[in-house]
Amino acid sequence: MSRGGPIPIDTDVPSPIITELIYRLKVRDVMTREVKTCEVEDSVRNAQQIMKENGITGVPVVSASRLLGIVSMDDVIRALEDGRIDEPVPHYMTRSVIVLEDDMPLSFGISYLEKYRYGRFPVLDAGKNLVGIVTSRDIIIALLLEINKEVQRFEDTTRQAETEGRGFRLEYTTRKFDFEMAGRLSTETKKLLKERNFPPKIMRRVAVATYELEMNQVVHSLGGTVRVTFEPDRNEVDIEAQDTGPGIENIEDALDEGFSTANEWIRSLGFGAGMGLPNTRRVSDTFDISSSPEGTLVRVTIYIPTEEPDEAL
Amino acid sequence: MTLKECAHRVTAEWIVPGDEAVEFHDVVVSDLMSDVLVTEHDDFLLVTSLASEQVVRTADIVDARAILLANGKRPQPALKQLAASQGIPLLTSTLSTFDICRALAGCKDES
Repeated sequence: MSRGGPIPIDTDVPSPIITELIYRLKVRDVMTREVKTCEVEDSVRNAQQIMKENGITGVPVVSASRLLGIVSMDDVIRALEDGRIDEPVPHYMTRSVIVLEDDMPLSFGISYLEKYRYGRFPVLDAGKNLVGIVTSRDIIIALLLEINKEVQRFEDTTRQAETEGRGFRLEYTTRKFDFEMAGRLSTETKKLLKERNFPPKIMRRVAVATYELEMNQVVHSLGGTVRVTFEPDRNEVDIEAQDTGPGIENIEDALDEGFSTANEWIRSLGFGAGMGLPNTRRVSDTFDISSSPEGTLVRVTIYIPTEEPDEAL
Repeated sequence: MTLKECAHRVTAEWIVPGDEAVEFHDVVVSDLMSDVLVTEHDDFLLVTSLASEQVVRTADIVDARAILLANGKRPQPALKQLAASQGIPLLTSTLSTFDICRALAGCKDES
């Protein structure tokens, strides 16, 4: 029985995270534990009734939790065609059932779905007792939940923050073309500065510099990190943006207002106007840039007026 | 001009509600967020036909009083959520950017 193309989870060369995930998860982690079953004395009609009531398309046949076979919708239809729907299930059930073991990695479940094209696989424990059933739905739900957790974990690693007294150090990782994430550093930095009663003009300059540097990495680099450091005993905010390439061909040009190498779709997002670096330099007290094909490093300092920030408001 | 008066003049719909009595004394009109970041004003209304999350990030950095989307742009839920969490009022008007500018042109002299 063929139902379209193969399942698009490539178990031969998947991403390392997915491979790790489908080996880490066991069949028992994704299976439905409350299995609707019928007994050998039950008729095919009884089995069909169980399917109807539970919205399922196959019912394992058991005797004292031993699996004897499985009755599927197809078997019910065959019995109907024969006019023998009231016969006991063993006459129509499939006896050579493909089963999974509860401690198998989930990857087996996925490859079984592909290999055998059944809608469901009964799950047996080490003692050969029926302990669950796995459908493609169970696998999809379990995978989605796990992938969500993985993404959350990944996003957590893109942010590092330390605070010590009034001082703080905040670092975010940027990724190429990840526009949604860009701006998180400047938003959080501004919040931290606000809590510390920085003068509004300083807050704005720091926010503009961090935002432009974040955006520059998202638009032009392969990704990198932007770090903001404030040490209270030094009256300055330091910003350091380091990316992993491909470097700026001509730094003089890049510092020219309006010079841009951004393409049309980046411009359609409101960026790439060739103002990123000039804007950053405009709001900085010191501005250093160095670039090679291995990466670009921008260092910016913004001085805080010497009067106490609290009074400066 | 207050946000209430502005909303009335451009028949805007409030997407993320805010204090209608908030006043702005200038208007910055741009679809290029880099240009918005260059402005020196801080009590202005940002008018743009760009409806991306970066509009909210930019408005927050430069302390815009509110964002008015032109040309009937409808924000994505993520944009709406970000504006709400940053406490930036968000409005949308079906008028073109030009007509919005015409309707708000007097705001500088009036204040």
